[in-house]
Amino acid sequence: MTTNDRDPFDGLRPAPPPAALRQRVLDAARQAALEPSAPTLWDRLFESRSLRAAWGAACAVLAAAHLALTALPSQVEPPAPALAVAPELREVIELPRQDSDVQLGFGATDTIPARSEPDEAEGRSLDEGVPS
Amino acid sequence: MNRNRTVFRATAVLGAAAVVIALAASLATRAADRVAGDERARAPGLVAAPVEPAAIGRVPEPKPLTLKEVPKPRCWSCPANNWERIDFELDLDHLAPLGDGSSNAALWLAGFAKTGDPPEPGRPYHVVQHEVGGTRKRGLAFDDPILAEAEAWVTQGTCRFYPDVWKLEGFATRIPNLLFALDVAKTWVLRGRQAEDRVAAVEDYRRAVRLGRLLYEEDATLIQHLVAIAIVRLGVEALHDEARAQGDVLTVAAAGTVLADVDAMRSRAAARVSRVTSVWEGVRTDFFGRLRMDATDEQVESALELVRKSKDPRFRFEALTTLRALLHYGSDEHAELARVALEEVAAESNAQLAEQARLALEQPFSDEELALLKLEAAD
Repeated sequence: MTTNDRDPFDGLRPAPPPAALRQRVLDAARQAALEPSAPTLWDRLFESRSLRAAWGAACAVLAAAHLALTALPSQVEPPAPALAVAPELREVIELPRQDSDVQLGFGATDTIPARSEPDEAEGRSLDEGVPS
Repeated sequence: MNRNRTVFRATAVLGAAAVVIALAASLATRAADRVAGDERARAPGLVAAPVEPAAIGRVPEPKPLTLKEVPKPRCWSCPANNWERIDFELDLDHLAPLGDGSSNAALWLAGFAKTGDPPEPGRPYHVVQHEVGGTRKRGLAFDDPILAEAEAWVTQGTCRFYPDVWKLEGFATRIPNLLFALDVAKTWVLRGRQAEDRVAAVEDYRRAVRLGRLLYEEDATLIQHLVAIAIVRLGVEALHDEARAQGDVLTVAAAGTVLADVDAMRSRAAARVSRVTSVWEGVRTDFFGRLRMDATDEQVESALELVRKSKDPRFRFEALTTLRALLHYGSDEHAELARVALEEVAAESNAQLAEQARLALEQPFSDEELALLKLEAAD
């Protein structure tokens, strides 16, 4: 074994970081994490009290306007239902329902005398009879 | 974690903004609709503008009346007259002849009817209540300019709505404002009854008769026919009373036959139209919730008889709608009977009837229309 057994790079090894550095970095990071970050636009909008109040007021006003529009009567009369007819007209156009072909029975036998054919009796009154 | 929070907050902010925008937009739409609706209803531009006849017609004096012209009252209930035309026995020219103006009075009357879809009111007119013998009677003011317009129009010789103004469209056929016509006629009669000038009074009565006769001319819808004969009656009744006061026996007798005819005509019309309304009574909902027309064979035969035998087109037009309903909602047998009858009418020489029958064969019939028939039957 000679004196050459010494590590030739012995003097060139980098110096180790200071022992307190690790702790300082960790402390700084912890500190940064604990500190509030810069608020974004959404944060500012979300958290704005005045904006919340304005939103609430706008909703209330708009809802009230909707209700008012519903309750406010139109200046125009609603159209009458299709079947609604003025009484003056109704009394003219209303016809009583009639059975168009009522025949009365004749006594107990209920037989009806044979009628003359319509063309024979054409244009005659009941008392005029039919030609012999 | 920060990212999630930002997304949540952005969503909440955008959602809140969307709520406000939706509320505001719907409010604006509703308000605009309301304003537009009000303006549309009030807009004079949408109301038919007054029209004038081409010229005032010449109205001849009534034809001379002798006993020979006073008709023997018709035997309205005689079976032989069952299918005869329902018409006045007296030639109404003996009481109030029509004028010879060449314009179509329907063009003027149509201005007072509802127009458009949905219907908008026609030309407005003001109704007043006249005090007559302690009772209030509806009419126009005696000096209403519309009455002056009407005087010119009842010197015309024609009044034809179909097809000059509207098309016959079965159930959807448009009709004139018949209440207006009735109001005008009533006003003339009221004015005549209160007039000191009896000649002018008789002129007013004749105007009423002429208005009724003009509406009577067109034999297309039953409702117009009923109002027409009611108006004729108003005028003739006043002429009858005037003649009675003057001791004019012949006019009393002639007017008397007209008044009797009007009642008989209404009665015959009721009997005929009952033939179709009885079919409507058969409209019902079946087990599966479908609308059906369960008319009896007798009811269907009765309606078919009306279509085949009536000499008055107005009743046949009424019946065509019922046949169309049977075609789609009746039993197979009734639908076939309806189809055969419609094909017969479609081949007839009366062009309007034939066209309506062809349309009835082609057009569907909706549940809504059938429900309306049911409602009418129950009314």
